[in-house]
Parts: sequence; C-alpha cells; structure tokens
Amino acid sequence: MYSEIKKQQPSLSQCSVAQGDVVIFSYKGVFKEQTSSHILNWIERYLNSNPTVTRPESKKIFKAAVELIQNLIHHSSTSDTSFVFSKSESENRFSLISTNLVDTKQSDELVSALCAIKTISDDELRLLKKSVMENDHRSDHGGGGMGLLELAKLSNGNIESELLPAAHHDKLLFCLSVHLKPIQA
Amino acid sequence: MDNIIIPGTSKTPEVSFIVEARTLNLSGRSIPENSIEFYSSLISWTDTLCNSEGVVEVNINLEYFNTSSSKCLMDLLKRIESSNVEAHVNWYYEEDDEDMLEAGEDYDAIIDLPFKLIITGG
Repeated sequence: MYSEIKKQQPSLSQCSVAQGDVVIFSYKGVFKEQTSSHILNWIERYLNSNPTVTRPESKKIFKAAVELIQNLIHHSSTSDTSFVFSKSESENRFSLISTNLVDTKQSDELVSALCAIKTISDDELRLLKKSVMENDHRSDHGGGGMGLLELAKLSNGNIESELLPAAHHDKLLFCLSVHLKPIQA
Repeated sequence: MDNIIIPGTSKTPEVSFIVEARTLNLSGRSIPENSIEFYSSLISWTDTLCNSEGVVEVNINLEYFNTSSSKCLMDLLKRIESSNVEAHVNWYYEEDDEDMLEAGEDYDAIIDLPFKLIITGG
C-alpha cells in the first residue's frame, strides 16, 4: 500500500497543487476503506512527528482529511480519483486536494453549493451546520451533506473548487482544495 | 439487557454502556466510514434503557468525530430527549480544541437535556 503513496515534487497539472507548494504525498486510484485507513494513519503519523504543527492545527488537518477521503470512498468507482497533501511554507499553510469524477448534471449544484458556502460568515456557517445537524435528513452516506460545511468551517472558508473535462462521457473532474492555516513558525 | 463494551479502534470509539449504572460512555475517536452501522445497535440499546426509570448519564469524550458520526450522536441524544427520562450529558473537550467546544455548545443548543461542557488536559 505504501508504495502507492508517492512522495513527489509538485506536478503543475491544472488539477493539482499550487506552484511553489511541496507535495507531502499523493495517491491516485480507487479509494476503498482500507486505502482510507492507510492514508489517514500516514497523515496522522506525519502530523504527530512534525513539531511545527500544534495539536489544535493537527486535529483540524486530520479532520479535514477524514472528510475529504471518506467522501472519495463514496465517489471513487474509477482510478480518476486522487488525493494530495501539500504544504506551502511561503504562504504558511497546508493544503488537501481531492479529485473525483462527478456527473455533469450534478456539477452545477455542487459548485453553487460551494460558492454559497464561501460567501457566508463563520457565524452563519455555524448556524447552517447546526440546522443540518438538527434536521433528520441524511445523505446516502449518513452525513446529511455536512461534509462541505465542515470543510469550510475547518478552513475558515479557504476552499476552492474547479471542474475540468474528463474522458468519461457525461462526467467532469471535480477538484476540491482545502487550505488550512497556519503552519506554526 | 446486557452491557455493551466495545474496545476503541483507530476509527471507532471505545464504548461502555452499563445498564446498572445507567451510563453511556463514548471515548476516543469516531470516524468510521459507515457510522449508521456502528451506532444502530447503540441507539437501540439506548431506547431500551430509556424505557426504564432512573437517571441516565451520558459521557462523550471524543478526540475526533466525522460528520456522519455527528448525525448519529444527534440521533442518540434525541432519543434520550424524547423518552422523557431524566438524563444529563457530560461533553468533554481538550483545552484549545475550539471545534470540539463549539460542537458541544451546538448539541447543547439543540438538545433539551442538561449539558456540562468539561475541559480536559488534552
């Protein structure tokens, strides 16, 4: 499994890390429960062994990774799925980037939801999350659509998304980047 | 009705639900892919316990939980709330963990049960 987690220099493809970021690791392939466990254990060990990351920051990064990776398990029927963990010392942040295929029909809704989340304040975000928690509705995966709200909250709204053409008919590549600050000096 | 004792794992919490003491203890982390599967038996157990008289104590001392688990925790607490049994919740959070403190405050605001937010050393 660990051979599949590649340490690499940043690739500059459209759906990848920002220029100047250093990739801590990346994985591309089908995400299954075991894959998720290995990657999360890897991230946790990395964070715990990094003295520059405080425990509260480490917990935020780990929680964001959990949400992103577990989302990929549910949307990862093909090898077009990927996860990248990177850092930018110049911008004092860690980034988590997930990529997966989405239906073209679903993509507009997804981007609209993200745009809406990005425009609201932290307090409004908390209220929205509370109202989703209170609601009995569940998504197919049990979270009731709270994953994006949680990611927005953990990153103080520092999330970006991008849709790119995919080789598959009626599909687009959905790239979601979550930036978490600060890396403690 | 038997006690439920489940050791914690890297993804699921340590569970100690004790009939005689009427206590529900969850600690560690709750980040399973399928939270509904994990929590369904705990929720059923809670329903049964709440059909009998006596004060119920809930202790939630989680380091992490995913959004799917947060809905399950909400279900569990709502079942206790709607049963009208006397109950109180102790919500533990690590010092400096503002996210976990906020989560406790949010559950407290939604669930009509006495809540204590208790700081731990981390």
